[in-house]
Amino acid sequence: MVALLTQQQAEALQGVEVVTDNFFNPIQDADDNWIISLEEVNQCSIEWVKQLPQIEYNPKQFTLPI
Amino acid sequence: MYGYGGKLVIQSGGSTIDSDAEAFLLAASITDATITTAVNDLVVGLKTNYLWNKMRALYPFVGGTATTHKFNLKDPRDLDAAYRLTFFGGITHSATGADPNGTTGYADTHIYPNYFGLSDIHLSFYSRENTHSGGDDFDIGTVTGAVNRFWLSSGLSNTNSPTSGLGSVLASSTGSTDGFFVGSLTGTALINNTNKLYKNGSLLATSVSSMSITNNASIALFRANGIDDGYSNRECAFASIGLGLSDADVTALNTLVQAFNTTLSRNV
Repeated sequence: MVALLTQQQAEALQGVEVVTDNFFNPIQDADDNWIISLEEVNQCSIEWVKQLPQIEYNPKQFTLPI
Repeated sequence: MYGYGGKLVIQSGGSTIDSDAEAFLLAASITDATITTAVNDLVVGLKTNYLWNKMRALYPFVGGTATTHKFNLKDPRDLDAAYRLTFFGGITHSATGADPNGTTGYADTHIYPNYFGLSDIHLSFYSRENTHSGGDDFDIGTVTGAVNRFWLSSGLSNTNSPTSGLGSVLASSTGSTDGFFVGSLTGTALINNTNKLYKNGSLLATSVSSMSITNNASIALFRANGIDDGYSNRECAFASIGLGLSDADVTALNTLVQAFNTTLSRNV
C-alpha cells in the first residue's frame, strides 16, 4: 500500500523534510498516480499527509539500457 | 605504525584518535565509545593499508539518524560538495544502518561518474539483508545508457544474482544478497580494462570492460539515478566510492569493513 496524492500535493511536498535531513520523494506509479510510501507518512508529522487515502502500489516498469 | 599516514589526536581521557576520525565524529556529534572505536579503527586501517587515498566517499552509517548517516567520513563537511548524502523517500534510519523501502527511498551522493577516470573506479556496498524489492534493484549507481553504466547490485533481479555494471555488465551465479560487495574496474585505457566483482573478499566474476562515461546523473544509493528507478530495499551498513582496487586492496577493505560492523554488533 502507498498514499495517494494529487499533483498539487505532490508539488507541495517537494523539498519538504519527512524527518530532519530526509526529504519526501513523491513518485508516479504505473497509472500515473502521484504517491508516497507509508514510511514517509508514518515518519512525518504533517497532519494532512497522515489523512491521505491509501491505494495498492502498482510500480512502473522500466527497461535497463542494454 | 608501518604505512600509517594519519595524524593522531590525544583525547581528554588520554586515548588517541586519528584526526580524520575525530573530524567525522565531531561533525556527526557522535560521542558513543563503541562507535568512536569502530570509526577510528576503520580510518587507521584504511590508512595503514594505503586505501584512504583511493577513497572519494566513505559512508559508515553510524549514529542511527539521517543527520548522522549523511556525513562522508572522507570529507565530513556538511556540504553537497563534500559528497554528503541527501536522503529522499522512505528510509528507516537506525543503529544498524539505513534501510530503504524499495519504493521511494534513496540517497543522492552528489558524485558524478566523470569525476573518475574511465578505467579506475570502484563501488562497494555492505548489505545486511537477503531480500528483493520485486524487480531489478540497484544498491548504488547511475545508468544513462548502454555503456554509461556505473552501478553495483547485490542482487539485480529475483534470481539473487550479484551484478556490477562498470561499462559492461558482470554477473555472478545465484547467491544471497547479504554481505559486502565490491565492483572494481582497473586499467590504463578507455577499453579492455579489468572488471571484477567480489563478495566478502572473494572474487565472484571477472571480465574485460570498456567505459564511455558522459553521464550527467549523479550516483545514488538504493536506486540508479539516470533512470531514477530500480529501488532497492536492502539495508546498508557501509558504502564507498573511489578509485579502482586490486585484489589485495579488496581483501584488506573486506577485513576492515567486516571488523567495523562486528565492533558495532551489526555484521551479517
